[in-house]
Amino acid sequence: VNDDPILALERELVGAARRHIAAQGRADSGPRPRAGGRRLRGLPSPLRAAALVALVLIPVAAVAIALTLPRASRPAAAPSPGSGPVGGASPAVAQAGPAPLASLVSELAVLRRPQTAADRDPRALALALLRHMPGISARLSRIRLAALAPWGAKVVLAPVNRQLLIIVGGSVQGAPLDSMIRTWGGEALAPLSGGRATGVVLVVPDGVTQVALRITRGGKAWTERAPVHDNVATVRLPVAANAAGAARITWYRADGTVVKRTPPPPPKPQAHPGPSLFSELAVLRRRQSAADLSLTEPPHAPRTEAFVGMPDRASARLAEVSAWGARVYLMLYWPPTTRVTDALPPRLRAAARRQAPRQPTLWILSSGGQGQEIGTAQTVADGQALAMSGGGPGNRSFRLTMVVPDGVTTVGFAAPGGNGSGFSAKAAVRDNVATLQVQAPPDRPAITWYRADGTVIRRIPAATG
Amino acid sequence: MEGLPDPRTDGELLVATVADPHAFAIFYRRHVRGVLSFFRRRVESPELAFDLTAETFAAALEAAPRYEPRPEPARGWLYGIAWNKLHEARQRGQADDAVRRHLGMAPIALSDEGIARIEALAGGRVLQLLDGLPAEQREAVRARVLDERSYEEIAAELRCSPSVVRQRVSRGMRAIRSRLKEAEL
Repeated sequence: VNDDPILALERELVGAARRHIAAQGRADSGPRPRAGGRRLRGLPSPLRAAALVALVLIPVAAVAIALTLPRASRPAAAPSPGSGPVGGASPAVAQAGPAPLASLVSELAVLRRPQTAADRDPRALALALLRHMPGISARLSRIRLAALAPWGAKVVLAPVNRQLLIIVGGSVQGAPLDSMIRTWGGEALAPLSGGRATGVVLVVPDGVTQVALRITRGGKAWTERAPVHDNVATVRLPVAANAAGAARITWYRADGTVVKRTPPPPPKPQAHPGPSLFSELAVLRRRQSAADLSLTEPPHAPRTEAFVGMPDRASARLAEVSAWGARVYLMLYWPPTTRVTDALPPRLRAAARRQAPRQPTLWILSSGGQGQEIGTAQTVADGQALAMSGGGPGNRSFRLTMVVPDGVTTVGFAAPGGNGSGFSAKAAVRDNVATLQVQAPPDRPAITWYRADGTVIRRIPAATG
Repeated sequence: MEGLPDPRTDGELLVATVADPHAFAIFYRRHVRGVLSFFRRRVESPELAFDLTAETFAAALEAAPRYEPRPEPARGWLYGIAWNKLHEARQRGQADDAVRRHLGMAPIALSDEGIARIEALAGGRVLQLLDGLPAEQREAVRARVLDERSYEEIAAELRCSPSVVRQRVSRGMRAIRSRLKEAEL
């Protein structure tokens, strides 16, 4: 029994994180994968899987944190026909067991060339790092300063026991020789610019003169190329480590032919289901203020909750004073609980179960508590969270209220039409809401979302009919 | 919690969690109060609020290796998880502990003191008492104490002078303290 559960929870979380890192370490020193880390796949735990898709990570005291990524766990591709010494390394050889150091040396010219003064300088760094690892015997004569990365870090290769360590700046990453060289080479990733960019170091066998990385992010795909010197290619990618690690890699020979190409990565398991209103709308994440609580709650009868859901007053937010001077509030409604539905007379229960929302819904409410449901998180993300209403008796104006996801700063409304019903106007977004008043009832207009720099995020066509 | 605050952003802490458990502890300390309050405002008991908080952070720890830094703060990502946990709990009628079990985390039994600590941190009991205040005092206390806004700003919004706001906050807090004391007797 804990008098301070907050502290107890922190201890449990730290313990869980430690176990995860230790498990990763055990994976490093355990039996070798039969083929390029293939045994790492199919593990039940997303945590362990995420950990083990990484290459071997060797945390070293007092050095910066480094990330490793899933190249070693990628399924091996079939060797290209007519490939050279690298492409010709058959899967059978890779499965035969750990490759000896001699094999590695035979495949990496950088380890065969004479050690220079420049190589000996980083040797001190490598030794300082390796001293923290018990049972390590480094081949000092094989340590090489292989490259100076574009982001300023020295890249040092150090064969140690049955691993080739890639030392990038102050971090050490490595992989078993067999999975590394005979399948997908060695790779080290260094988070740059606070994790928004990634430095990628690829170690490739002799014969590979250029590498290409095909990166996919947010529906955009592009290719970055880097030449190979001393068996190492370095490239700075403007993406986070996860995206960099998922890049497809192609090795090229000097004549431009392909040595190897990684197959497309398997789809990543989704961490959490779909978008949530909370993740889409910053207005709901900000602290609730006194102004937010000035909303008069809609006068719902208890039975109504079984049909429309249960209002969440803690989520009420004053989002905008509209173009026509009214306060616009947003509030979430939870799907009704079983208890609420069961409290209905039996004749109404089936209808309530049919009609009630199954996900949290967003409502737009006015100061007086009148409101309308605008949809779910998906509705907002799809650009369909638009409310249209008349201006009231004797008022010919029409009012548009749109809820938009984070990042949209201006909404453009455009409705073609004769008889004075056409219009085109832009409305600024405040707290995820844009409002506009027009003088004629439009069909649902075409909508354009803009970023702060004026570029278009999305165009949503007008509804017809 | 001692020493200088860690300069790393939440996103950097999550990325670092892959190799450094202490990074996640810092992330946890930054947000545990906010997440606990988030749940406490929405569920009936402090025990359930704590359970959901624990499951949320466990899920965040589990998902940390897949976290991808984005321009928007990682806080939104964390609250997205909290949101989903709350949604699941409402559907099931109870908090799930699947992620904690999966991570091998021991259940945390709560003593009366532990519940009081949760309430103090999440402001549950105080929020109840706050709701019982007259509307003027309630708004003033919320704006000043919970939202940490300046007297001048609140005065402008409520269309009164800053000294009136001070008076309302003072009276409201006095009433809350007095009711808390009564409850302890």
